Amino acid sequence: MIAILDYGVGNVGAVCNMFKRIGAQAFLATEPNEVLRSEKIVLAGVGNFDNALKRLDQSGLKDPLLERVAAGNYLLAICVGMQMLANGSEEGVEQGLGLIDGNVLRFTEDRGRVPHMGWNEVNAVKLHGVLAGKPQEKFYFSHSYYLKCSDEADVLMTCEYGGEFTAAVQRQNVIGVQFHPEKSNKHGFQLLRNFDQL
Amino acid sequence: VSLRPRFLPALLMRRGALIKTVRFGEYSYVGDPINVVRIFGEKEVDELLLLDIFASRENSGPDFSTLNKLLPECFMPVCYGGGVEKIDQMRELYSMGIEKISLNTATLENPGLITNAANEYGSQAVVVTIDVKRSAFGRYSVRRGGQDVSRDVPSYCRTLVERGAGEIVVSSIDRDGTWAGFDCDLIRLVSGAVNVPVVALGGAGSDGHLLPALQAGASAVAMGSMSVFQSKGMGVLVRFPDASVQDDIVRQLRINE
Repeated sequence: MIAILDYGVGNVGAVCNMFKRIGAQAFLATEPNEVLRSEKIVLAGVGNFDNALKRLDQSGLKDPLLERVAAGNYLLAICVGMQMLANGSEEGVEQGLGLIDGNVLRFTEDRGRVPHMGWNEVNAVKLHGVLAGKPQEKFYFSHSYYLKCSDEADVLMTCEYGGEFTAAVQRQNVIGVQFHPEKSNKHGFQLLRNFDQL
Repeated sequence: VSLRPRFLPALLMRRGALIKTVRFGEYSYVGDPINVVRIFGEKEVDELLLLDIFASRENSGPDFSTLNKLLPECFMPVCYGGGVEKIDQMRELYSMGIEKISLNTATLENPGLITNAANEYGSQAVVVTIDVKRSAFGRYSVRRGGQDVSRDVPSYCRTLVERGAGEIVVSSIDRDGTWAGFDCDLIRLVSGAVNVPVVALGGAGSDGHLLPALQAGASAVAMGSMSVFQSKGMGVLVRFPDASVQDDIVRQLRINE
């Protein structure tokens, strides 16, 4: 079962809906023991960095999440979820989860209009099961901040927006995507199906 | 290479049905939103702009029951606007799976709502739609309920962005439902004033109208009438410029960059 953490920062319903659409067993988790029993975890959300981290903390789901990740269970972090994996963010003062070394930076205005909003092409820079079947064509992005990895080996996909930025990260069982697979139509179906089958 | 522009249908709702207006006035019935959204999903549209234009006029708030039926059909990004006045309503809409909420009239009485929402959900989730009218002398004003709200559109838009708006939908009252093409002067005025994406709305009547709006600086072009009617004054037909038409427009846009 895939536990989608329901910690009060939006669009988790859309993620759950998409997993159901592809026939995966997914549910919205609100209780710590639901997370502790799950096989895989999804950390999604629409939100400000500090707000999302505070909400996660208050929900009581943060420790179970970290416990499962430490035990080797797969985590897929989406959008602000991916940013939460970092150590910190220019958007706020809260400490990130520290699962991926790096910091979250704001797009500078010389890159183009901010937020970066729309469909953009991504390039896979390493192989991983979550990218099977070439889902890496284009995805829907909607963000003003991006994660800059300290260790290049953690970068899974890159994207161009007035220069390169990291579109997805992966370190061991932790995967993060800056785009919205749950809103990327068939491109997203494939990626979520891959995650389900990891 | 600049970011690929977005092509989106703009669907107008009223009490659970899809309608389409002309110059914000008379309207015709289009059909059941669920069917129409499904068709647009198959057509892989970039995004859906869903506006309940009567929700604030009739003071009814967002139509959660219709949205609850509609959103499970949306595997594309959705921007919803209509009757949103409180942060609690926004929380509910975001949790239902809407990425972006468009505020309109509420921003006048409660400008802090933009900032509150941006602080909680990030600017990328907060859109403001402005309804703009062009006077006989070619002057633009932001309108609401038949009255001018601001006669300085650029500074009005800059203020919205300072408050936290991450995107502005520029809706031309004069062009709504006319099939006469976008008001490109207006698009140029707004896109030149702010550095957030600008969505052009009002006037799209043919594929040929899209490129000029993008050249005027729009990051996205929204199509109302032409995405739901065969042609002006004709029956309902859900249609949308296909991928090759869109690619061609993008190619021409980039040649001139």
